[in-house]
Amino acid sequence: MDKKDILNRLKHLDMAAYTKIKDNKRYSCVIVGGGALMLLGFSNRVTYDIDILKSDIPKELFEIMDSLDINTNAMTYRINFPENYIKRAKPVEIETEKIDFYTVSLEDLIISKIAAFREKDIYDIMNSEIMQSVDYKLLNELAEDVKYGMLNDYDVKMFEHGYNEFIQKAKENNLCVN
Amino acid sequence: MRELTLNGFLKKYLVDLSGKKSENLSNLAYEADHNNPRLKEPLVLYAYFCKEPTTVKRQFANSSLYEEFCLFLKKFPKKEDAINYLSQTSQIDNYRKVYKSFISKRDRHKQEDALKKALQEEVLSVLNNKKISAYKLLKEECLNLNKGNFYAFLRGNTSCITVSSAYNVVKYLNQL
Repeated sequence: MDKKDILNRLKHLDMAAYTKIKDNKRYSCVIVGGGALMLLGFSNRVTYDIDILKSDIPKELFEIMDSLDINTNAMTYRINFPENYIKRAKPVEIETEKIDFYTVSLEDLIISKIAAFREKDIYDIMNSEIMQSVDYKLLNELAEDVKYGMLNDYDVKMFEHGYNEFIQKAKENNLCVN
Repeated sequence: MRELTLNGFLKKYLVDLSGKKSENLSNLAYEADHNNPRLKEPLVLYAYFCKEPTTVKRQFANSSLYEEFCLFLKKFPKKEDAINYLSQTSQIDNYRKVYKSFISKRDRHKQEDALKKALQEEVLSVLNNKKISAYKLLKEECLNLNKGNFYAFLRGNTSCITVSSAYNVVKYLNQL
């Protein structure tokens, strides 16, 4: 699957919304995970499903979303994202009539993957293509934000460990992280 | 067009995930253990559905996937039982996610047909409500419609028109 396939499915969902939802509203949807990485232009991460973090799409479209492998399970991981991630969300460049699609920013995505404490999420971000594109000043700020919201010291330490590993790897790639 | 099979899907998925065309299970298992943990569930499913168990056990012998595969095999000695589990379980586990992606990809043309059907109904409804003839639409250069195909579409043959053409007709009609 490639970026074009994701865009086709988003377009399909928008067309279905245009046909089924007869109101004057526009709805919105924030994409995370591997789909977001592909939409942001990073080719190393392949995914077949599309994960949604935030959406006000009407429930009449849920069945269509399911058939297009567009999942809303990521909403349960909202706590891994910095508080005001929505301010940094990037619009997906696709012409639509009913739904505005966004991805979270690269920095928010990296923080959420470190905070997930899963090996496969760390794997997704530990590559030079991503590390070269990061705003490290912003990343540091978001790391502090997420740590502040964590429930206990153990989680904070786990996060700091993962975050320091990422920064260390970036330094090894001669990237300016200060 | 031939329908996508689960075996074909899993093979392609592994190529996409690993970035390599190799079907060598022990190499892929090594990748799953050391470099690419997302390979794990698709690889176990591929091994289960596409390969002989004795071959798989030999090739997974030095990998954490050996135990995973054996557990899966023990839980589902028959492939039909595995398919039932993957299809019906409400838990969103990673095996279920892989199978769901397969179903979505396999049924993509059905999804398109369903959308075209909905668009066809919308077109007929608007033509009727606004008292517009199909002929008027055919004259519109911006819609670029083929007469025979469009009339067939209006009669219910959704294979004669693309989704984007049908959608453009609906948008055009709603602006009138």
